[in-house]
Amino acid sequence: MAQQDLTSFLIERAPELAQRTAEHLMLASVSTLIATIAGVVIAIVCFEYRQLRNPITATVGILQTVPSLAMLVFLMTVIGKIGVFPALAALTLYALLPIVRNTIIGLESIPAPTIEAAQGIGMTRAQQIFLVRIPMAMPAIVAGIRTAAVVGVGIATLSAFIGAGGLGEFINRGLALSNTRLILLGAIPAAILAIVADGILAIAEWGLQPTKATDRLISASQRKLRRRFAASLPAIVCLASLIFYFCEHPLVAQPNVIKIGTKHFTESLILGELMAQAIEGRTKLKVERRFDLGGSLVCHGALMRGDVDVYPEYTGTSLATILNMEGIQDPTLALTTVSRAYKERFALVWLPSFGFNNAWAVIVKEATANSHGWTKISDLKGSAEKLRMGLTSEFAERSDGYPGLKKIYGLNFGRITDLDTNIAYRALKENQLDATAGNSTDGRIDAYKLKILDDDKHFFPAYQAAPVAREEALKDHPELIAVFNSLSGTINNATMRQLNYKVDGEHRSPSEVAHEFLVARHLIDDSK
Amino acid sequence: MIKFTEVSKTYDGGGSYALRDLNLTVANGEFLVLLGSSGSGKSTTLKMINRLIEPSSGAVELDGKLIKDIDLVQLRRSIGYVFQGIGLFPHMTIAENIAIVPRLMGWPKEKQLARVAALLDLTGLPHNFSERLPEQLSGGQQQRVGVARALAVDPEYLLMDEPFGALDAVTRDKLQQEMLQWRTTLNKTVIFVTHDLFEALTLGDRIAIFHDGVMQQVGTRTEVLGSPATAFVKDLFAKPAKQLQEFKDLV
Repeated sequence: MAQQDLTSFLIERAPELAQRTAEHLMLASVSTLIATIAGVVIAIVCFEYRQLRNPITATVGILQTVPSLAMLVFLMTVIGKIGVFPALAALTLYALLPIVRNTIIGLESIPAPTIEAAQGIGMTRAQQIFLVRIPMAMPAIVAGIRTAAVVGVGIATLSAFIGAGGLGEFINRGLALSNTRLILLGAIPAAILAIVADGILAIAEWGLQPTKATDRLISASQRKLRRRFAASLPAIVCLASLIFYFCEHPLVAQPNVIKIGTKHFTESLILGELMAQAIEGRTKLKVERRFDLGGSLVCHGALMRGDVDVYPEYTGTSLATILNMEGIQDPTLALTTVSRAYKERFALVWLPSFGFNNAWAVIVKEATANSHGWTKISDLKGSAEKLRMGLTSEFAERSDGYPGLKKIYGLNFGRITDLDTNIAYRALKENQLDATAGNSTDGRIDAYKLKILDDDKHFFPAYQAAPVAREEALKDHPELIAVFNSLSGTINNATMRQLNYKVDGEHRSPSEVAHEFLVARHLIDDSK
Repeated sequence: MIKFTEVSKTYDGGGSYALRDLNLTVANGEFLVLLGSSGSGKSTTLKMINRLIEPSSGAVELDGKLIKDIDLVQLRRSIGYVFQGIGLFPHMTIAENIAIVPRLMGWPKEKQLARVAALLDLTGLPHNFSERLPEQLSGGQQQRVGVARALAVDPEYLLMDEPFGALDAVTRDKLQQEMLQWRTTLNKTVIFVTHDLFEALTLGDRIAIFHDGVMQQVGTRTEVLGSPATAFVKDLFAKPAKQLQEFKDLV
């Protein structure tokens, strides 16, 4: 199926684009606002207590060097929630540096005679700061806010990783689905937003700057009006985005809403849609999609806190990253193990598996395999030294990844490159790589005519996919269990590869693909 | 009355003195000029009165009270202070600048406005200046605003630190003349710092001459001209007198 044309793509996405833009603007503007207030206070403290200045500015400076994603995940852990709060906290911390630094510089750059005048006429220390230093430092402060706001709009794109929404949602999804259009749908509005934010603050800067001798003479009331307009413009934008945001996201939790999470890759998104549409089609419950969360720990944390009710997980991932246990090769044993551990430790339920095992796989080009007579991983022994292997950085590090593979099969690849999966598959197809490690159910395996080598020494642990749900959610809505049972065992590895390919290869939306599948299997009525 | 008793100021623990053993009394209603070159101690003396500089030793009294016992903010608000350079707040209008001390003291708005109008009249500035910003005024006009600001709460004492130093000769001359007028109408005690000999002679009831941190002599213009106390004072007046003679010869 060809990609839909641009106009209908945009029309279809318009409502979500509006919502994401509002979320994005809210994240950037609210964090900038908080950072402005906090930053000015911190700057005043630094200014008043000189001995604090170096430690504080150094700390604020170091904060800014922390990679944005690390900061987001760290704060998510500290705050103990996914969503808006950790995102706002992270964005605020990033916005602090330019504001604090510029405010300090502004406060210090007041000419000595002006300060002497302030002292000489009997201003208190506080009056000197609030009546003289801050008003005179205003252009510097606004310049700092401007930098902070533009940086904030940029970094806010990463907030989608922890479920805070924003335009990053499109970018993440686009990256996960290798869909350039979706990436641009997030990236272009984000860039425009940055320019607009900068423009609005430029107007504020112009309005707040002190009058110069060369300026046209305007009356005090005109000047006051201009100042008021300049100062209120960013405030209005901030307020409007907040209002819009709360219209979209009511503060009170709605009953009878099941919140479904997913990680940010195609398969997880498809499984999320399958569950969502099956629930929507077969129960009276409503579904809130909190998709594209940044990884297992984020999803698990969200589940524990009730930020999501259910998300698709893999047994192998869960053993390695959540339970810190050894990988289990036998699929049934793996599922019973995680199932028992989750029930005891987290009050979470592993529901029946979807039916496929997305284990790691060593993947080569079919043509190459045929010419060398490769069918299993052991066949690579002997020629591995001459092969170029592409690995994702995750696989390269995990003990159930490359280090173990190397040991068990005694393989020493000639050249190893760390690559993004998307790039690795393409490189394999174009003969720039000889082998890569990937997922058994990747849609591109069939599409690019690649071949999975048999894991003859049973090294790779099982990665059975199944929904993981909160016990409480299942108790509140027992009708869910029937829905999940009906999905159980419906998807084998080949089917999953096809579904993945429809999204990755044919650039169709996960929701469309999921719907088609559910209807074809008579799991829901084709009412929509 | 302002009284200095054995006042010294050192910044290096006694290695050198910005001001040394000053004994000086300023009577109420007096116009005292502190004359000297830069580094002579004249500005240090002035700034000790509103405690912009604290003495290293000795006592400064205001109306019989040690100034270090007076609340700093109250002290400064009760003393008018005018000085050279950009003493006006560049982000405030002329009216706001003039009304700053009344505002700090919590005067009602109408009273502030009335006071601004009165002071603009007194200092010869048109009323429509009140909405302008300092940068939009000439140097002479700015200095008038400075005087107006210092007079805003009608303080008994007026400290002026080379207020006309940066002005051109014509403007300075005009302001000096007006200064003489203001002081007769206002009856303030004025302490006026200058390095300009003629300005000192024009304005001062008494002139205190400073050199290297030591007050050389204090007296009326007749006294300092007629019986100089030190060789420095003698030389100070001799040189311009000689220049004047040469100028006359030339003409």
